[in-house]
Amino acid sequence: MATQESKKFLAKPFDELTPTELENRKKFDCGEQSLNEYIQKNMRKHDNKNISKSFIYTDGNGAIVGYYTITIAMVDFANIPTRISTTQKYPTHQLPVISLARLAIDKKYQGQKFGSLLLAEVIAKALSAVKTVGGVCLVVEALHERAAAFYRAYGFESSPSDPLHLYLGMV
Amino acid sequence: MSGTTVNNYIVQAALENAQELIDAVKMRTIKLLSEADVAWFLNKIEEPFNPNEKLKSALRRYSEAIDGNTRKQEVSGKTI
Repeated sequence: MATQESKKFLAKPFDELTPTELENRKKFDCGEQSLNEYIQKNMRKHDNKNISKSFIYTDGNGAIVGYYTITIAMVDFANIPTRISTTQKYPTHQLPVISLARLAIDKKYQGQKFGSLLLAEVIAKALSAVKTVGGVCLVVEALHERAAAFYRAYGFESSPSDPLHLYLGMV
Repeated sequence: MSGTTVNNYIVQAALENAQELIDAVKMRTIKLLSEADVAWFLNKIEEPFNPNEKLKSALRRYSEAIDGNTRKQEVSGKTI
């Protein structure tokens, strides 16, 4: 059943990578140093401990096309004074969200719509996650404006004071 | 890390662990910065999932890609 389930997705869980694919993480280059380092170093630890879950899209011949990392996060507004009406509606200053922590496509595969395919997969998973574990929306913390513009094109909206924090409604 | 002294090794390992922790924590808390942000956010989370044309088309291509995958696997299953 479990393997049947995973075939429904394009990207596979980190722990299903083949030895060749694991080795090829070293060659992964999406043009962002932090995202290259993540797949090579901390992804395994975070994934093993379920701190976050990473899924890797491969070409089927050992090469890594791209990956995404999802986690649960909290949007925190404890230090911001809010009107009484808001606090009555939400008797907490932290609300859970689904966070798309990372999304990266190797340079060799950029401009071929793999980014939008993986984003579609993330959104499909997020829609199901909010129904099973909760989460008030999907959030992305973009690394820079170019990345933020990518998400905006798909309907994400920046918060008023931080253009790099992007939100997509999921209710 | 080759050719380093034991001290260097320990410092390096500590730094890497610290960085891992920072990464993990940073990934998990998103601080809103102003009252305007809070008002905007609380409004945002009332919004239904309402994909724009570009996202709709991405989701469509995604379903097709998934179907294609499933069919390929079924076909190869039958061939075997």
